[in-house]
Amino acid sequence: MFQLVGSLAFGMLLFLLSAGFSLIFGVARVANLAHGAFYVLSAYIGYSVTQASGNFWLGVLVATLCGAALGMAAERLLLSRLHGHELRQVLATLGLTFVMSDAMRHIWGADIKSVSPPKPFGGPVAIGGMMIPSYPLVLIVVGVLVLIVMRLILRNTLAGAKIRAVTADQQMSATLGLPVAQISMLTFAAGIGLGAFGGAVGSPQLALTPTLDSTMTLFALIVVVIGGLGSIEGAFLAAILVGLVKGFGETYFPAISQIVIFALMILVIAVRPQGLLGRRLGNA
Amino acid sequence: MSNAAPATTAGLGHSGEGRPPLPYPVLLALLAAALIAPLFIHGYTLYLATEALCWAIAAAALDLLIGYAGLTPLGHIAMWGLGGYTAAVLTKLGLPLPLVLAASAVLATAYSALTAPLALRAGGIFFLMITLAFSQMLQVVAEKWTAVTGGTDGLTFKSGLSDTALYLVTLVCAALTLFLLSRIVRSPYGRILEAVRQNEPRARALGYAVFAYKYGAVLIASAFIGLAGALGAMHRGIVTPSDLFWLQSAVLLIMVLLGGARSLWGPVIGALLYTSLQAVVSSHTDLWAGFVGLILMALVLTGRGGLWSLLHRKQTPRKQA
Repeated sequence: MFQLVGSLAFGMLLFLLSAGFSLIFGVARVANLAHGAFYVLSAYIGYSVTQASGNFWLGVLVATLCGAALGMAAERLLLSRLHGHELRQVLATLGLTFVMSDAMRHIWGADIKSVSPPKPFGGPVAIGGMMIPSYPLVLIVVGVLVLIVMRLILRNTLAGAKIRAVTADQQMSATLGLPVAQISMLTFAAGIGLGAFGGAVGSPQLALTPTLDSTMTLFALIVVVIGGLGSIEGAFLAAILVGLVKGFGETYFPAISQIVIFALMILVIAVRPQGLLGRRLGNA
Repeated sequence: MSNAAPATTAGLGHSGEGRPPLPYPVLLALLAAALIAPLFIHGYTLYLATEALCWAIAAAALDLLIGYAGLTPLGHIAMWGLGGYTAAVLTKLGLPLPLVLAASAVLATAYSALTAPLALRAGGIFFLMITLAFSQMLQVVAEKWTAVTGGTDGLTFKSGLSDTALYLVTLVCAALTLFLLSRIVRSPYGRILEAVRQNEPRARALGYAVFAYKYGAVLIASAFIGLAGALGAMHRGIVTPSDLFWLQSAVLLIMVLLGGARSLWGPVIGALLYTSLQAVVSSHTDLWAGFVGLILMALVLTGRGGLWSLLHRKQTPRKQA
């Protein structure tokens, strides 16, 4: 039970991380290798703000906003200039990863920073006679809420419809008069903001180190490949799957848990190259 | 994805058509200079020179993929690491050097023979992501399979060669690599590879087995990268799982881009330059990785064909304009 909650909570963090990645890939066609770096950076910002103000949720808010702003800046200053050059965009985000992770090491040091969960959720709760830490439960609720909200936005709002249109066919959307560049920028803000939110909210669950970024980027890649690019539901499913495999794997077969995750991904690629819930056009 | 490939690489590679290779006298002079160099350089400088040559072999081989085949992997460090581990294990068993080097190349090729089909089939940006995933998997294996790999501590071993001898061996391997690669590039096979990169649907329509050509390029490159990894491991005397870290793949990529893809010599220059820069900069600051990131972003943003094309542009002004 303890394992299950922990794994699911980690899965939710992965979902927040990879939903942003997936969104950005869908709209801007950028495989953002700096996604993990943004995630960890926001977690650090959240940590610092929390330290300074004593309010965890303020930290989360500031981190999310910073993440969104940084994402927008990265899109404006770096990626939009390389529009249409897939490969060069990937390399640019790779360069960004190097810079960000060194900057983080410089500012916050290489030591592990741990964040304690916010007040009412610090201790365990008893469910059915078992003591379970309450913060992972909060994360699970948050993850499910985000999925529901994202679905609602993508399905039922004009902004969502625009995002789906650009994801489905960029050229046609531009022809029909949609401001693709603007939508792309806003998607970047939303996608990285989402990852940033995940980073800040998840910081009590993960120990913060500057090398966490490449791990998280890899997880985002794995989740997105398994779930199917551009599919939010797929990302959700895959994130939970990976979270469970990682959580239970580390307890029961620690030597090969990571290999199992990679094997899972390779299996998916071999059998269903488009991912579990591969992109169904116009259906985010 | 496939028809986007020419567009994505077009900006990275300077058009190499009709570019003359270095004239033979210059080549011979360079080789001679490199051969007698150990008489004048010792210690750390010689160490760096060997290190740079190892990277140069790998970078030139990677250029076959990036510049000529239009494939950009991000897991090529796996071949390097595999070569390194093979060399460490076999040297410890007491096998002779040529056999060790050959085995490293063969094992690296075998790894690619198994993994490349999946990555190639996915294509485009997925090629990058899948090669990355495979190389990460290999790193995990290197970390966990302690019985063979020594876990996170890695394997320490002695090649039994002096520093100078090792330098010369590496130099010969590098020369051989460049010779073979330049022959491959100019062979009918290389030409068709070029055609596939420029217009894959058309090459396919002409009846070429596009997949086989790409697969072949990956295998060839893997062999040389494996060789380079083996030499690198012997030279350092240690292999650890961190040699397989994915940012190392990026480093190799930067060498190619720094020197200029699609020239074979460009990546060599890139490797030499990178290694010396690293030695200089990292003695002043520990923020080397950030520096590398800035270089990479600058390279990508300016989109030039690297240093080699700058040199070359001066020699033959505006041929393609």
